[in-house]
Amino acid sequence: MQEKLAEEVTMTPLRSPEKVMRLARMGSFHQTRLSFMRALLRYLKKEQWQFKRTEWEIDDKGVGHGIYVASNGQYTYSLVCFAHDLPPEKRSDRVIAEEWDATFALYDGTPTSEEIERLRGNIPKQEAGYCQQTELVLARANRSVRLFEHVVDRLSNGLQPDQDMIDSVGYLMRTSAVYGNGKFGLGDRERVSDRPEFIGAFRTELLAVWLIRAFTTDIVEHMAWVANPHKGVKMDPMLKRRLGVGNSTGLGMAPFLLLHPALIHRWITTREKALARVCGLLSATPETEKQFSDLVRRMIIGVDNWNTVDQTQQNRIIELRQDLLKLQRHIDPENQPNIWQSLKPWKQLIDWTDRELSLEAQELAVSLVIEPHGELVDDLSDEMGIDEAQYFPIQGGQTIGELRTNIEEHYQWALKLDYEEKSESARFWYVSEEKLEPRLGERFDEPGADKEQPLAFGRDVAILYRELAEIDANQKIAVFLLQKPEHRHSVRRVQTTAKLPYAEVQDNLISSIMRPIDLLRCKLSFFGASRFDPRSDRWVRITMYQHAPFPDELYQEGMDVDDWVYPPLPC
Amino acid sequence: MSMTGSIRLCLVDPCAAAQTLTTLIRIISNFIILSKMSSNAPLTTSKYGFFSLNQIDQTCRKAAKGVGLPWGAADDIGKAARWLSAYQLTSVPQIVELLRAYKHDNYENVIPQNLVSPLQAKQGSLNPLMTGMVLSDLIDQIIDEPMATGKLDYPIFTAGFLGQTALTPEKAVCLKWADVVLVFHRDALIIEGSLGDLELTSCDSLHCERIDFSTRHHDEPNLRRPIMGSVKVAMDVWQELEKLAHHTYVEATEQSRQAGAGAGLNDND
Repeated sequence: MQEKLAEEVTMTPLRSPEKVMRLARMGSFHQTRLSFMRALLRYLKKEQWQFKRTEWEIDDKGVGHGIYVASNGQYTYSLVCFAHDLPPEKRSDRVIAEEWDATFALYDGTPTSEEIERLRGNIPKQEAGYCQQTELVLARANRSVRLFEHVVDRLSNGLQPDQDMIDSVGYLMRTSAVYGNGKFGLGDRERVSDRPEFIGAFRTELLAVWLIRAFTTDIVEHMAWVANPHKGVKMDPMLKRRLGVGNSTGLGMAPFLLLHPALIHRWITTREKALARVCGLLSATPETEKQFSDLVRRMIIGVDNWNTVDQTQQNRIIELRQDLLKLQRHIDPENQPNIWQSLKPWKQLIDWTDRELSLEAQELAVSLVIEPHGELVDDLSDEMGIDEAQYFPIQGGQTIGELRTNIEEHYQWALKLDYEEKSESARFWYVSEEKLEPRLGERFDEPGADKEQPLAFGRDVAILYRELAEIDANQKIAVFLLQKPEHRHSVRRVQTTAKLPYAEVQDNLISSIMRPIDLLRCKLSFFGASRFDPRSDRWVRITMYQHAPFPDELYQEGMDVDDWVYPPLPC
Repeated sequence: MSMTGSIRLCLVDPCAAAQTLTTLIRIISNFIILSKMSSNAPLTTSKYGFFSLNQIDQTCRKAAKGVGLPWGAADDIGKAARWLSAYQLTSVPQIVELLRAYKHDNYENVIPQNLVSPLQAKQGSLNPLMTGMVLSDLIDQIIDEPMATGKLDYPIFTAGFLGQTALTPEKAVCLKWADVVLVFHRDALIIEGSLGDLELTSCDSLHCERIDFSTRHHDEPNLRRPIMGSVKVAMDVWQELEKLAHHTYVEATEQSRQAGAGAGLNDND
């Protein structure tokens, strides 16, 4: 049915890489219904996965372990959670922290009691511990102290927590790292990549986060009960659902986005395809029109609850609110002309946002127009993965002339820049010896540029292009690379981008004005994160799964597994 | 996975290789202070650790850069090490040894002088890392026309690079040196002849040509598929690999800690 629908619709052309792959736009992306968290929950419900808390051995100080199990009969995954009593002075979200309020492992199968003890000896140490292939995800989280204490205090006194307080923070705990794919000895991606539940990208990690969310509310209720066993109450489920899992993300995500060009191409084109399918629709149905109008109203409420201490983002949120009101007026069917009466109204709408609204609002509009069209686009959720290995080999038989043409076609933006200007080469990406944290340095003020990571693609391709000018156009790349192996990474990059044009960020990644959080936000939007709260230009807090059903609510009557991202309209 | 299953992963006896290497390290180590290293290695008191294929890929990549190879070449070397480990064709000690032996000053002498078969070094033997990369870059040409090399060190490593290419059962390759033949594409490998020759530190010639793998039987006893599990490595060898990788890290400073990661605001609320 879905395939047929997709075939019937005429897609408009995709927005060009020159338009989409700019940092400012990527840094304005919002989650869509194709985002990995949403696709995962849809899948789990459709395939009738079952969830259970099987162990809860946590003492009065909040120390111990709990286990949450997800199973479809064929495969079982166990989130093993360790709760700790962390002194406040040790609570830090930085990668360099060494202790946390809670630590987690997603275990492939059901761990025996010996396995649980092995995990207890290692998982709380995180990177310094010892993981095996049976552990698919390693994660840790810290409390939002002010909300956690507030909720414990209220529940232990028989009261419900304050909704405004919940909305202003959005989570009881925030993860500061969620590792997968073979890091620190964890199971390699290949171990699970052919299991249908993990098709796509990052679903293993996001399954772990969804189960972690259940742990965060269970532990807060446990602490309230411990504080006052006679008066302690459980949280109202409607309030509880307003809590997601927070996440603190630093620069570590940026290199990933840059070093997986094929995957990024796939994510971006899939999102663009969904938009193009919707824009190709000749008309809107009354249902989608109504849904869209409601979504705009709901998003206005969401924006009102979107708080950040970052002035730049705060200004963007204020502008976004105004833009949403403008959008609301624009789609009013009483308008003359009425946009819903026009041919290809969704395309008209997107074109209008391009002309009239901020980037933040333009990209939100992309998410909003895709939202009511699940039947048309949801099949694309399964296209978020790609066999990256097939794009890795260098085609050494290509000629220098052909490579030059590729560069001219795809890297004009990079060739235009003058890297001799200090401002265009101001930064360098590096890995610190301190817990191997990726960082960004000031090239002309700090030591370490001799150990620069190969992430300045624009500059490096421009240098390659200059060098190629001296070489016979008929010479094979293999010969050139034998003599000049220092260009190998740039040649691979150009050949990949020539095949996958959305693989490259078309901005200078070492310029003085580059904002790394744009890269983080782009990636996090694909995860399905919301409430971006930059803490600096290279550090962002987000919320995951806010308003989503909990595992024990997935099959509740009337629970729409897909209708949780936008806050509900007031009754 | 069981301990017994893992021991089979190394063709070379890890104990013997580790001992040889340890002696070598004692003599020529540049004494990078271990305590300054940020280690990804599991904290274990045992002589061995288990490492994922991803760890082998990433750590070998950084180690290759650490010894002076360019990033693009390091990318290939990491992937080759992963492929070789997944097929249990070589062990991490050999990779460490090969990387340690790399001398940037000698680069011109150990690469193929041109792309005419047989590929020849200017002086002595070809380096298998650079030769492997050339063969991988020329895979489309090899599919049409066989290619050979002259004297080559550690011929097994070339398979790691060719294994990266888009080979399919219909478009597979066979590599021959001494008395051993490797027939493979990306997802399967058959070894024929003398298994001992896989470990040769040098061969007089290597021959590479296209072969049709699709006619081979799936139940051939010597057919290998990539492992799905971790690889057992002697801890001192792994630490040596990390020591090489460490050359790619920047020293930690307070300025770097604060500004480099941009966590200037309170993250404890």
